[in-house]
Amino acid sequence: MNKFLGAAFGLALAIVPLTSSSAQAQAEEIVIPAITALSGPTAVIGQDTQKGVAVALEHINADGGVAGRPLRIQLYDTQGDPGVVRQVMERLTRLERAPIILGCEISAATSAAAQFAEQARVPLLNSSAVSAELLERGYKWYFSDQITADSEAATVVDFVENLMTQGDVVPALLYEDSPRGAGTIERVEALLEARGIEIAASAPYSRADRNLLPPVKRVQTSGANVVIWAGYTEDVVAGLQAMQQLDFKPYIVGIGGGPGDVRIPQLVDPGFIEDVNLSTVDYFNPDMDRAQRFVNAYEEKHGIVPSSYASMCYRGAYTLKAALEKTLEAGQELTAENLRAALLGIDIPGDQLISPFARIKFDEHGRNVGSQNLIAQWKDRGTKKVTVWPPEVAVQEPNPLK
Amino acid sequence: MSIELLLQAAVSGFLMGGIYALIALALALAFGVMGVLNFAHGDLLMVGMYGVVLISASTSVSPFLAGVLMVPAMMAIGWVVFVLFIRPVVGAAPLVQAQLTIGLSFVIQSAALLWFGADLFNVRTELGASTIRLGAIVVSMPLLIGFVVALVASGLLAWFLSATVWGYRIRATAEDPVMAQLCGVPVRRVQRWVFVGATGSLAIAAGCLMGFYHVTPVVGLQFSVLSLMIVVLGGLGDLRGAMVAALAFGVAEAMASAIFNSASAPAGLYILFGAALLLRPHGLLGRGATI
Repeated sequence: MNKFLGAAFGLALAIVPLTSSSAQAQAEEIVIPAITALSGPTAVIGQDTQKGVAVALEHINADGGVAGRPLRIQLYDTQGDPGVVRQVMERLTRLERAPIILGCEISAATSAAAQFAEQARVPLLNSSAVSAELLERGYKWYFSDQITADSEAATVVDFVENLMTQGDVVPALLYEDSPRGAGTIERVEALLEARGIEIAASAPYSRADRNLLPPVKRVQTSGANVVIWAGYTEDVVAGLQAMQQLDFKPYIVGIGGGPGDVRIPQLVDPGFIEDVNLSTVDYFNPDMDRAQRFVNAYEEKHGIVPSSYASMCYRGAYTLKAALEKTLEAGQELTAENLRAALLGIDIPGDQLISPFARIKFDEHGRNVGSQNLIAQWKDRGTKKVTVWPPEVAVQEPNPLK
Repeated sequence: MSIELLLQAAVSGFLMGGIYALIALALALAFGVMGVLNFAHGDLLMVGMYGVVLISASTSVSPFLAGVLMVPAMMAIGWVVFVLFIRPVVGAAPLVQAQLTIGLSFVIQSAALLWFGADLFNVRTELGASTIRLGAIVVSMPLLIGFVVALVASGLLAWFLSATVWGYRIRATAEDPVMAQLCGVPVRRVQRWVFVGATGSLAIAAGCLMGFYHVTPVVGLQFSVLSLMIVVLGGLGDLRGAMVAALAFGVAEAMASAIFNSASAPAGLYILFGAALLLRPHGLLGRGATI
């Protein structure tokens, strides 16, 4: 009996470490780095990214994590500076040996990160930058689930053509002169010219300009009644104030974070926002049915609906989850090569996404073939953004051209 | 490009230049008396701008009045900054002064980011969209009021320097601190009060700016660069030169944007700045120190 008890005890002692280590492995946290600008001129992107990622992790881990393992995304501050991006990427790839990196950065910084990821042969999953040029470089290790400047330009021009069915449209271009604004407007200009639509004026300005009366007046004196405007929040606020002072009320079709910033009604007279039919091409809007879990959780935490910036890496976290799960369920290690192969193999249907995409599926260039834009317009006296385009996802009709 | 557009740019730029003048005068005065180029000057202005936002949001007063109410707070901040950071480097090598004030700039920006976040703030008033029309030229009321307030503040400063005992002391210290000391001027006290007063005057400039502009944690950097360029262009230590340079800068900035209509417009401004320095190394009025 004593021998039996002793053997049973010994067996129990032998089994306990095995079960603990298997339980430990199941519970072992997966930590993936993400790069974003938590300080510097583009800190508002990083600030909202941080909030969006936090909500994503709550949801992912509440739903069982990644193949039963909790996920943590560790944010690294790049200050929005390509030089700092390179330093951070070097640290992540060479010292910390990250198998994959999530990018929530502007295009200029993402470009630096993508170059480094390619050299280091580590997948960079971009959920933020819209640069189409990055996808044309032939990178094998760069993936982008985000819309591109090409698709933004196409959506804008389709919308303008729809306005043309209602009356005479005289378009003008107004844009901040960074690669983001100038690059997108260049594509819009090319598409408008290809479709035989004449542009009345093109007015670039520097984001640092404190007085936007001159470029806005230039657009006004051209006789334009539709303004296609690429800008960030600061310059859009200044430009709208200039338009109000000049009593200039064109139909505005916006591109970029500025026109669709959820804080716009607090910064500019909401009545004027609706007077100019302020619309924005976007990849997220809080009124989408599929986004309500995210919107409600975010609003409960922060007292405001999420911005598009907050949505980007919420979506990116789920793309990352899909790749991690695909790798683990195949019994493979989380290595750069395996995760790259997993990214090429994922196919997330649109109804599982908070963005208006048909799906997330990457082609051989790392481009998401299912990405789609929407156009949201400020309504209810300029206090609420409503999806108005394309018709298949629109919640309301866009305001008519007056 | 029409005459109307150029006139609009010239008028807006001139008004903007008046506000730049108040910002730059504070820096010019501090440099003239202490010989310290404060690279955190724009960030101190940024602190004033946040103060104006807080006061306006909690009391619903106009940003111009909020700027006046901020003066004591800004003077207190100036006192602390002077005692902790500026006084130890008065007379030190320029590189030491630059490193210290640049570091201070980063600290202020980071503190603002931690405290207020990265979101943009502005002050919306009923005046916001108001304008005066001079024919085809539109003059923004907030900008006009800001210009007038800045002009009055600059005028008061000029009067103070030319018609009061303390003004004489400040001018004497700026001209020759050793001789001023020998004549019984309390040079160290003068330096302290000049820095405190200059920082306090930034509150008025902050109120003028918040009438039509916004604030973020990084907005100070552009004003630091701007005021440094104006002070250098006007002649280091020359207040009248700084005033003229600020007005010229405001007009040139707006005209460049209107004329060139391209992303390279700011580059033209820097080229003009470089050319002016080559032709007038002692400043526009020829009375300043060289770098």
